[in-house]
Amino acid sequence: MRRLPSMTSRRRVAASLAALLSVIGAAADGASPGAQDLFAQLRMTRMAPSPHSAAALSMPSLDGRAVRLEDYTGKVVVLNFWATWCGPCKEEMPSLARLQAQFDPEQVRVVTVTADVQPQGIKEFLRQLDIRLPVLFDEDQELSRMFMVRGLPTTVVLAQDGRQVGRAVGPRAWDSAAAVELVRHVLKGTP
Amino acid sequence: MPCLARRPHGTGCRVGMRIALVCLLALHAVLPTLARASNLPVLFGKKHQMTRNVKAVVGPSVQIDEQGYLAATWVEEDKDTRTIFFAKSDEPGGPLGAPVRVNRPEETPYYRQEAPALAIRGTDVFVTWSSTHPKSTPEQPFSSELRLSRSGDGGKTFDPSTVVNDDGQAINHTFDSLQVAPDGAIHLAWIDGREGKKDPGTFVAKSTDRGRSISQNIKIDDNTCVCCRTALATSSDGILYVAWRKIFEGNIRETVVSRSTDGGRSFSPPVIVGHDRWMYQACPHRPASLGVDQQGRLYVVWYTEGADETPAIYLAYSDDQGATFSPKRQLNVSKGTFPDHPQMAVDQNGQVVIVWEEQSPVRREVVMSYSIDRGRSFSKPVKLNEKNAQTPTVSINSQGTVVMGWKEHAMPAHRLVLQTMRFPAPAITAEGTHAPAP
Repeated sequence: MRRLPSMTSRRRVAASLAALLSVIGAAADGASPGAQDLFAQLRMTRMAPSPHSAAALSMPSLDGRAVRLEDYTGKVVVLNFWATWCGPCKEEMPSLARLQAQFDPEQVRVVTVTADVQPQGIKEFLRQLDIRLPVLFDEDQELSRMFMVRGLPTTVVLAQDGRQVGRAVGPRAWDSAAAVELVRHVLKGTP
Repeated sequence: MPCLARRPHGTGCRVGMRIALVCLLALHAVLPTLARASNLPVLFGKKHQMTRNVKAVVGPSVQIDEQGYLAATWVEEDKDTRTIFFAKSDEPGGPLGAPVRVNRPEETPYYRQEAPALAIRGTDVFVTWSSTHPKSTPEQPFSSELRLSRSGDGGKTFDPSTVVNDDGQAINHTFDSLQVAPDGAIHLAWIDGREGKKDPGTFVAKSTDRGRSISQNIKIDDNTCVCCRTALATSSDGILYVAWRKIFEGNIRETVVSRSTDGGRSFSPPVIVGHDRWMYQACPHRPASLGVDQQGRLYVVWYTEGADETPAIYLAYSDDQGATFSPKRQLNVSKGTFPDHPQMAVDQNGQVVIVWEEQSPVRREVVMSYSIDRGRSFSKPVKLNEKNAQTPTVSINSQGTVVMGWKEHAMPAHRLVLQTMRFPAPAITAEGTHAPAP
């Protein structure tokens, strides 16, 4: 009697896996070759546009506001997870600021997220580098968990509808031609 | 070169697919719980919870003494003030008593990512933690000192802390570990960038006067992964082991172990434990854990994603003082979650308890697995938590009594949870190994 639910469960898993793989495969097949090249050039994991449950999560920002990801709906979001003790994170931060400088903030937003709550130190760090990117404090690492952030830096690209389309683990040259072009592709809705 | 750079065009989505699959499989993942683990040959004690109505809690670190008294230390943040607390049970296996403040008001804890390290010997309690560096400047905003706090009255009061690092530089001195050797010497290890190199080094120091003064700092090695906490263990005959994650050519991250046979004055070159070939350009932020049994077997448990980028937790052991290691054994078995943050305790009979997290985008569980045959076989992992949980930690005494601690999210509050467990009395077999008594 006990085996029946287990078998049913396994079948459900198998069916769900097959469905998910077909979605990912279909998305990969349907993408333009140019987009695939851009993700590959930037060594980013390309994802079938996938929803997440983080849109309504409210987080305090460095400037004292409460911010939700859904506040950015309609914009492409480059969401960068970092920490003050993470050398590669701090090294890539200026390139994220330069990426932001190439886009209208009404269309593209580079947003940084840290669970490392050092507001004064972070203010001084950003001031020294003349970086004006928003910083959100993921105090209980809830956003990090929702996006399965397992190493720092991790950068997730969200399309205008809030769905994630790509992620990079480790630092990147975010002001490189490939990165700028990739964001343009996402902006055009052709990721 | 980062790992994804090696991927042929288009296959970089393997990791993303794996994450997507975890999201899906997490819905189906089923871990045995304590209630369904009553047939295990171990006895679980009462679970104790301490609710803290503060903004954030980091930790705990736990210890159990020879009489079975439980102790814990953790960091709290409330109204932007961070405080280190210590609490001890009033009876063996009992709930924690009233928390005692460890740091002085003028000593500001810097860091809230890692629990303070804790060691207890008799009525001496030792806690290490990082304080905001007094020479911190706008040009060096992220800098901290490593501090040792000491109580001589079993944790009722704590003396002003002692600075461990002797360089005076406004840099970070963090990711510390702490161990009291059989001779009473207190050994400390941490990650330190005082030489200004791209990657920091692994440093050690010790105290031979119960924490009143600290020896000159010694560098063991360079090219230390900046964010994976160090680990320490001592054998009953006084050999000191240190573990950390080292960066090799090509951003290969390996867990390594070094030993000292002269009480921490000199250390062997580091030995790679698992040969994982994990190429990773980012910060993993995941420590190893060490333990030694009475026969001198050194146990190492660690996290890696290996050459195939699969998150896994492994155990290996060494019977030659860390010169060579056994083949690694994978401990995590769940297909629906990612394992994380393993911690281990080993008693003198080679009974091993390992706790770790199993994570998904919607759940964060704490599980436990144990071995009663010196690491040759392990029980099926058992889920310990009720709410979303993280940062498990474990300690065992020579009676085979275990305390496991973790943090649960009970929004808007936080819960520190302690669970005790007892191994059956061991019996020595003909092979000299230990098995439970019938």
